[in-house]
Amino acid sequence: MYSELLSALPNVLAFSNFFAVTIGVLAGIAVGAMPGLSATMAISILVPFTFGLDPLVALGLMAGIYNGAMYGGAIPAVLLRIPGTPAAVATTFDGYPMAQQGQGGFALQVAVVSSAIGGIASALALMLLAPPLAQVTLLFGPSEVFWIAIFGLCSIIFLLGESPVKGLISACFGVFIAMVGADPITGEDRFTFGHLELLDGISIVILLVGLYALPPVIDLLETPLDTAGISKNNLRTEPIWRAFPRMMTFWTTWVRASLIGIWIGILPGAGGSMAAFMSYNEARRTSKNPGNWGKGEPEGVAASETANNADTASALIPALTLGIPGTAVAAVMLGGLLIHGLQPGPMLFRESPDIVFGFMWQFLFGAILLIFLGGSLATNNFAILLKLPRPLLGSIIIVLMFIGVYSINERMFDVYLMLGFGVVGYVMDKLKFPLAPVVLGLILGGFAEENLRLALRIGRGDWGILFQNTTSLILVALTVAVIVGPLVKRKLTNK
Amino acid sequence: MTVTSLTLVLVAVFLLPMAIELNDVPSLLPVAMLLALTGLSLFALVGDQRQAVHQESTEPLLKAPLRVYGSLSIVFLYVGSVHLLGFYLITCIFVPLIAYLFGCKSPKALAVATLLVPGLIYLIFSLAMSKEFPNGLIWG
Repeated sequence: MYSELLSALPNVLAFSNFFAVTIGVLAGIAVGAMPGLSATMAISILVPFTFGLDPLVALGLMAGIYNGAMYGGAIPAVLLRIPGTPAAVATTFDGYPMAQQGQGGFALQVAVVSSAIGGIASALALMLLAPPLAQVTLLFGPSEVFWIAIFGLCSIIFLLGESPVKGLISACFGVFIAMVGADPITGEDRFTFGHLELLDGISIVILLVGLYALPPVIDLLETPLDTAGISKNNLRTEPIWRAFPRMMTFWTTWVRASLIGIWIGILPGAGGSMAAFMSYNEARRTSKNPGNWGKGEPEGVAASETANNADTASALIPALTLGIPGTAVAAVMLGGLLIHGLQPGPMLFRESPDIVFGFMWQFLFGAILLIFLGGSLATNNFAILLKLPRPLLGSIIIVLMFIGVYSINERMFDVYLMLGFGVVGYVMDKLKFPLAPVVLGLILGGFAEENLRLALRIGRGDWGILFQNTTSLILVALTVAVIVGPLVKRKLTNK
Repeated sequence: MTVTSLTLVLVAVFLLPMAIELNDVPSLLPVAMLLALTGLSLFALVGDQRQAVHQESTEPLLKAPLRVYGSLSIVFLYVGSVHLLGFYLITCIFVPLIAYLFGCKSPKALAVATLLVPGLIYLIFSLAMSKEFPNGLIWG
């Protein structure tokens, strides 16, 4: 499989594909730099626009946005103590004090170099680990695939968010949405209420845009942002190649944070913010000067930014090989793959190796491009994006949401449906219901049902077929562990 | 949370007969999901009531309720108006209107957005990508 990885390289270097990654990185930094906007939201809005594009161009844009946004979140975190993305919270601890001491430019340079190193490590992990895992999963039959879907759902429910009940409600809602439309085997109508538009089911794009794009827009309009004091002048810095030697002492932090980020990325349900916090705490614990931390220690910025970028590509390891996204962004990216007719899972590696391996290269190039694009432009220009009027930005996003969803089938029904999901998403967000299980429920619900029915057909209606081989039993045990583990941990913590 | 839990229970109970009426296998997962939704919502409802008894005051859900309701209404109004009066006309009106109502008072920014947003959309989507947008029901 590694030979296919190499043979995908020339295609990725084609102008249109490379250009897409570049544009994606720039757009991602811009999105990450604006508090309230996230990579998940940007990719959700982007997905419908990529319908007519070549899959690698579309995936290049997504990979670039993901990489760029994870770094972009550091810009307001350093300058305003407002994390641009949730993963940049730990960057505020030392980044903002550095900015107050007149070192804002250097803090951003540390952030961009660390982000690039984390991103490169993550892309390499994806390239090394995904192909062998895909080989193993190719051996799975319908009952194993059913259990993988259940394991994926359970892990994101029980590991993500504070309340498993809320996670379960979200997932049930998602699975129920997957049931809408004509039954895939019998053709029987399910919950279409006579609407022909629902016969083909609910498009994941409509759900993604509604859930992930409308709530941030309402937030943008709800709260004004004070950006006084940001100007190009107070961000002037020395060139990045001159600043680099000052960062060489961080190499142990970079290695450790990369490993933490990759591990957290692979775990379903965990995300960039957890990686950043763990890495920050670990780096502080092993530091020779722990007293400096929280007062403007550049190594703190390095620890946080390396880890939150190291979980980007690695979150796609379970997503691409098993169809289980590790994070909300990975779930949205799976949606992006699906609309191009690419079903995530082991068969993807056999049927479309040029695309799946090309996507991995795009992650690597996206991370490398961060140094050139982020390093030379971010400190002087992207921070100025914070000055953009938020209400104007909100109104433009509303128009883009409309265009994206309407363009899928050129019908208003989809737009109204998207607004409905948007309101549901906003309420869920405010009540702290996790949104990722809804998306995962929609993706895995149909997948689980299809394989369950296939397994039952093979077993002639005998449910025992689901527990007949070792792999299935291991997956059942893992699912039980994922459910029971956090509950036991919570009980012990409460004691 | 109480309202949400009750709504979920009501919706699940409303949909359950439809799921049961389906044939044997196609009804399996929908019935399971709706029963689970009902049970979980009731569980969340009980938990919420217990919490309400123990906590004296809770943090308000919305920082600026008027702005939230206003923004939601204006989004719906935008989509409804596009359906009735056409995409470009309404976009030209709503982009600066939303921005102005929610605090962007700079005439320069508003003027640039009014011209630039629909202009770019026309160039990219209508001209380059040959996408068609609603012309408005009112114009036939």
